[in-house]
Amino acid sequence: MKMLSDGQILRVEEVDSLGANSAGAFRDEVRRAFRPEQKDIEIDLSNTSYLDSCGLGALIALYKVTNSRDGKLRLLDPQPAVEQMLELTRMHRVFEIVRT
Amino acid sequence: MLHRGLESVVEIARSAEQLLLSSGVPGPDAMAIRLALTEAANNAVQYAPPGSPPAEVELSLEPGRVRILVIDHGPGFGLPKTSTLPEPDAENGRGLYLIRTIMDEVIYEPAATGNRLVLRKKLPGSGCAGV
Repeated sequence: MKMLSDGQILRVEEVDSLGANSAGAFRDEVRRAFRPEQKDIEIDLSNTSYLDSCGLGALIALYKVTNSRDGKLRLLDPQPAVEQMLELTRMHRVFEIVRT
Repeated sequence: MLHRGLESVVEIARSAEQLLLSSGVPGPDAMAIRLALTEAANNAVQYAPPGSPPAEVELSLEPGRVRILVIDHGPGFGLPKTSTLPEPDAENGRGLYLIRTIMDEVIYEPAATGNRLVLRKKLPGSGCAGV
């Protein structure tokens, strides 16, 4: 996983998968990297092969952090399995999903 | 067989999806069944008491449907009759809802010899013949 700071945005890339075995560490690592002056988090999901409910919980935790700063959590280019999960849980109506 | 590790759930779920795809199950259905299996197996692993035997996961193809069996040796739980989504800002509590939404049949049988969670899903194209 790579993280890049771009002004007010923290960009997260090369996320392999978001499941129960990795979700907690992912959430904590992104939270630690999110600087106080930043507002938005963009997570590139183009390489994320799957998302389970624990991974979704991690995304929600990050969504709440950006929300608390009046910022946005953007999910970029989710793969079909991730899209399916977001639709099943109706979170596609909550997250901002961007297709580049 | 599942070792007590969430990493093995990932591998088992991936293998299950590959098996389903190679058996002609359409991609979206295979993905969804993989997710249901993952959710069920994650629960079995996460709620296993220390020292208990590892959980077991079995995927089988029955005529016109898929069957997943998860056996765990945890304390067991009362399966609620229905499952609803939690509030959008809840960070957990969606596993059972996902299983119920994806699968057509969810049966839980607690037992001292191992709690059995049986999930079944009809496959597309399998319907009633001669009706």
